[in-house]
Amino acid sequence: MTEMSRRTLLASVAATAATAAFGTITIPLPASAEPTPGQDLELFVQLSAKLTGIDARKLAPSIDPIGVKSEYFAAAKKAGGATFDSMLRDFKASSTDETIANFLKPDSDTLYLARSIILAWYLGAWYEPKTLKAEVLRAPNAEANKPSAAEASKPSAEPSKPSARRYNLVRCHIISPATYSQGWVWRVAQAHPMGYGNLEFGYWSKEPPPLDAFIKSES
Amino acid sequence: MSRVELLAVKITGVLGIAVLLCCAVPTKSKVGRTGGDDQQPTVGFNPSVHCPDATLADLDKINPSVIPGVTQGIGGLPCDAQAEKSGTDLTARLQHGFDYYSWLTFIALNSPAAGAPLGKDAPTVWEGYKQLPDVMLPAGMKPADWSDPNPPVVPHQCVDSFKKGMMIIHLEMEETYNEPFKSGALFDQNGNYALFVILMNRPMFQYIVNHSLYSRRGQEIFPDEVDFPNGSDGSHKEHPEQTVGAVMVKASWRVLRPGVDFDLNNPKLRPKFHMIDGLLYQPEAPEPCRQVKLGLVGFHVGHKTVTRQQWIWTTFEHHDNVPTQEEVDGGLTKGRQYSFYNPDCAVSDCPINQTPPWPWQPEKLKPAAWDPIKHHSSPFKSQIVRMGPSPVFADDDVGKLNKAFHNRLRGTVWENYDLITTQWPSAPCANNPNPGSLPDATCAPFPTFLANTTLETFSQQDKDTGVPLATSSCISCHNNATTQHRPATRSDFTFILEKAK
Repeated sequence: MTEMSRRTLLASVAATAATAAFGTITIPLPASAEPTPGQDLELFVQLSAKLTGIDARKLAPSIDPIGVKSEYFAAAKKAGGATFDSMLRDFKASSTDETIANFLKPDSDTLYLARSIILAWYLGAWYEPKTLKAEVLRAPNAEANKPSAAEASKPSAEPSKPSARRYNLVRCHIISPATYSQGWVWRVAQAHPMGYGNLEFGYWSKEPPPLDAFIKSES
Repeated sequence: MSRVELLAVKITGVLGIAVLLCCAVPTKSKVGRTGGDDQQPTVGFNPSVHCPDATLADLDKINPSVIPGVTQGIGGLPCDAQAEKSGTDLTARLQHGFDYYSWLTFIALNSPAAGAPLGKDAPTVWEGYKQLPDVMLPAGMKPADWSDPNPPVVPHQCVDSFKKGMMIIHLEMEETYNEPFKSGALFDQNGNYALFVILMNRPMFQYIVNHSLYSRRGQEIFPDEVDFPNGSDGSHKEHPEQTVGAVMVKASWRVLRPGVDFDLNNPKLRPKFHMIDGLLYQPEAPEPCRQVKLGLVGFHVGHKTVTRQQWIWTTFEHHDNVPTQEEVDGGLTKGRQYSFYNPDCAVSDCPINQTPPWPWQPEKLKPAAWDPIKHHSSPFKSQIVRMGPSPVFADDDVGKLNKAFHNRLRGTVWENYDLITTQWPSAPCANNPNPGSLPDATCAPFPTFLANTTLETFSQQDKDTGVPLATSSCISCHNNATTQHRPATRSDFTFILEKAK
């Protein structure tokens, strides 16, 4: 099994999302430079589609009874403040893959906020950007956390297990019951979160519906 | 032909017959679909009708006086719902369309069974439908054939008490006094139970009979997926037929005291509820059959259509059931009389939305078994406040419809009934005839949550917060209904089948 640290997971999710922008729908954005309050949510959805690799029509269907987009938007705005506003502004000015890549550059102000947004859509939970940043600094690859030469040279009692690493809980909070049930990780897994599901009775004894049924937009 | 050749012919013939027999073994499929399905035999009952036009032109210009369906009795029952014609917001147009459909449905089903338009209080069309205990009979007996109206199956102890037109209230069934999933009994301010009844229309009943689903054994050997008949207004090219489809009704009643809650001879106490004569049936009670006057307080309708395979869910309540939290907070409840709320009782003495203390069974009620005739009532009175739904749109969208139809029904008891809202499956998959194959078999119900304060009292939203699968949602809850087949199979959004014996 491939060893997977939290840092690796977060990085891979972000990278995957950034490079999986092909196939997302880009709706032409209004011409004015500054987003107006009414347009912010729509911009956020488009931005989220680029970040997550999920079709905007799936993130926010035209008829949207649950409306998690508003909850994620509120969380991002609260946490991101001016950084979030500038992300939207920059995205409105240019909604290209290059813009997204810039958001995710290691030295960018927006890197961790972008990751928070990705995680919100996939996991239904909010990870504060500063928490994610702190976690990166404490990650196993950080110099202070690398095993000593003596530790690294010891054969592991179970060859499949990694050498001793320090793992820390990454704090987050489930935004709401709705976001808990709507995390995209469950759809990608063709499954459902614990305690919630709308698959037909007896689904556990059958193959799940195909992946496309979970993630593709219905036209 | 030689003997060998003759033997070969015989063997071939036997083998051929065996192959045919094997191929004739039923496999899991959907049969019983009506109209437009050329590959399956039509074994249900869903006759062609002339569907009324149920399209709302403009919510802001509605005039029920010129709506033909309003005066057509049961002939005004919509076969399906349509989006409002005017407006730019698709969701609003659809919700308005469904709510308009709900009002037309309410009027049609509550129209007099004798055939007149809705007006003066009279026995209604839906009260002549088949009641659940009369379909799911003891020992899985086959129910009596349909008739218009359907007389109830009168228990032998009640033969002398029963009068034509009475509705038998089966208190031996827990569902009559305990809300879904045993969530609690509801007591009015007189300490009497709210009482619940479930009925079905002819297409739904006939489907059950034709497939022997009225018995546990019948369900166990039913090889197919349950697929009740569809309503269709003929507007979709794949479904040019016009049919009503399956309709089920769940109603809640409260016991009314003649001379106290109403007086036909006193204009100050003129009836405000649709009323029927009920016969309370409690087989173990000293008096198993007692006549009471019942007033309608809640009204659910579920209707299956070709465009909404998760059904369309309508709910109405009597205007005087309960206040909203906003009305309580705004001091607007003073001087008003509610069936399930006392405005003069402080929240410290009467905490809201609490389930009653146990036991809930009428015969075990403390201090004495429930008897509305002898005024043996519950000392606990439910103190209920409406917590939801939290509408996506302004309240006055539904309010506009209610006001318009109330004006049309002015001077009748029916002006006291409010549409709460309509829940409908909103995703494009709603017309998929195999919802069980979908990741979300509920197809995104809109609104997400819906509760009637008399029927889902204790699973309302907590203000604006709902918990999926815990807070009341017609479609989400009914999605989990199953048959008694082993293994259990979907029962097409109805819990009726699980009551088979």
